[in-house]
Amino acid sequence: MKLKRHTDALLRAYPIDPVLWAVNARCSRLLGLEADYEHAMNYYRKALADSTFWSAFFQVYGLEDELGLEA
Amino acid sequence: MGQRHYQSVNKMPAGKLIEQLTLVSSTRQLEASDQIGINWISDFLTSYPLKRRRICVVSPPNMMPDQIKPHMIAAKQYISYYPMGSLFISAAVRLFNPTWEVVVVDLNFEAIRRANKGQPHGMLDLLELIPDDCDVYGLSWMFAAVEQQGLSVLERLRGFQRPVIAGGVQSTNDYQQLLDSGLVDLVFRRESEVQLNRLLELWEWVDDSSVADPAERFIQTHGTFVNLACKTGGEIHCFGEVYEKPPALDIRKEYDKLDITAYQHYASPTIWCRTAGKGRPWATMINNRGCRAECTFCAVSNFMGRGTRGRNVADVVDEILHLYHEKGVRHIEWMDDDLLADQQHTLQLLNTIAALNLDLTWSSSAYVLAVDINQEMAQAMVESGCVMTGFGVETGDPVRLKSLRKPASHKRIRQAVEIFHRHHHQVVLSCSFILGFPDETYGEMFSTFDFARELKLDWSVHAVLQPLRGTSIYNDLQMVDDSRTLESFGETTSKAFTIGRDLVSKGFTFDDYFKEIIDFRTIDRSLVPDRKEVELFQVFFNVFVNLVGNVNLTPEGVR
Repeated sequence: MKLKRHTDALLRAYPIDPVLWAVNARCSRLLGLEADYEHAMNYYRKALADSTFWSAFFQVYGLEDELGLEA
Repeated sequence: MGQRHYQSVNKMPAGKLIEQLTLVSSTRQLEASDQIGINWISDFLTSYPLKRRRICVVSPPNMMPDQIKPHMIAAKQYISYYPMGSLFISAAVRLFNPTWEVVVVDLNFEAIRRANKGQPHGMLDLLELIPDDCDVYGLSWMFAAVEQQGLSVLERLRGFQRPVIAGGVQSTNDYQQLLDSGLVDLVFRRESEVQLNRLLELWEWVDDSSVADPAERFIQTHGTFVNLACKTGGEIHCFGEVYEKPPALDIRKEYDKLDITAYQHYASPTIWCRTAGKGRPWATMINNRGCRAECTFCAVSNFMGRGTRGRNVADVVDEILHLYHEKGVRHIEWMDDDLLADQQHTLQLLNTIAALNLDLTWSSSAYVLAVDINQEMAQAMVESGCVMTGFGVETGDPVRLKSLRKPASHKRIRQAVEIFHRHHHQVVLSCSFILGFPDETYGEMFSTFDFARELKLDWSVHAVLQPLRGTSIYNDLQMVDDSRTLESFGETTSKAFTIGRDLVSKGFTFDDYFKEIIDFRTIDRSLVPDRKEVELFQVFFNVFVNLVGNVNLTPEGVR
């Protein structure tokens, strides 16, 4: 919940950051907040598609596997 | 160590306090050049007959105001804290020269407020908020990062055709440039409560036709000024340098000068006020002034002298009760550079706060020294309402840590973290780290990365080193012509401590800035990265320490 609350706060300022959305989604799933999970995942996918930097970063470091995210 | 550098300031009547403060700098001998300086100041003040006895102290915006984004205000992402320096100046003037009034103008907050209301909030619009009927105008200038904004404010103040003064950390460091610019008449170096009041006293004598020789009377009464700089006959004159170490005064009345409700509404001093202390009206407070440490990257000891000056416990508690009952405050953000400086004093304060049984939380995002944490201290912190704290770590490299002259060891940091993890896991624990030290290799940065992960913190605050003028690390970098020290006065550009925040604040994204991704896992760790590579490493650090690698995503984390 600490990390969920923190990423919630950060995302209000940085809504284009897919890592924040991805981690927020992971927090939501761990906490059993499915609606929050779906919400975060939708934004995650959009933010990732919109950024060449983050797309490359996720690919180089295999972040989707690291976070156990559904494609 | 805690005891050796600690001076307790007892609660004392105002007269006694004045006497104590007066004694601090009156022992300074008058030098021949000081006589010239005092005569110049006296003659200078003669040109400005007193009108309303009002001093206007202006704090510049922390960011270029026209770059403020409404969605960032809605998220309370802009940093705003009470202008504590101006409040302390106001309290000192109220005590020493009660016929004078200090007008506090916080343009940082006003920029955020006006932007949120959809009102014009460019620099010129903000400057219109400065009253035009004051006897003297002052700039409270703390950070080089706001140099452009500070100079804009000074140009406006100069236009009032009244004396212009400047004080604060950055004014202390850049006093020559300020005087040479012609925008400032007098610079108060270091803490200025005492010397500003001496100036007002001299001005009163200058303005009083019954005083035949104000300068001579000043010399007879006070000996000389200290820490003041002015320009006489084209030459800069600096009065002697002394760490006066004035105590923090009672500023309860000064809080009436601020629209505290509005501060809550539009911004917060730290993210911890929005998360750990979520929804709680906040206030910034100071318990101790100064710091026992003398870290090479920090400007505190140069400005205030080494060591701390604590306030009487009853004074601090009175201020808390005032904020709690009169202003509705429910969360305190301590602004101290060394909050736990004295074990006995701190335990007494924390236990007193706990015994009040208030609905009050607090955080210390300026961090505390890990060396002060033991089980008793941690327990007292939590029982008094601590919801967030942490320690300055800076680097995971032991040799680098020693070179920073920080009174910390990795062993003590591990122990302090362990106490909170074991007994107070509900407290948000954060530590600070710096990347990009001079000649720092990838290997050293990975030591910092690995240590941050080992500590399993809730959050690791990380910054790319920005050498501050007046610090020893700045001087070292200047000697090797490091690019971070080459910006001339007036050209220093604002830069946030993280590349993400910096880009977003300027309307850019990583796509605009980074053209390639480096896989740091395979990098040659003996290499020294350039600035942009350090910034990319900072992104890597954030992702794998704070986000993907955060302990709260593992079974060890606390839900």
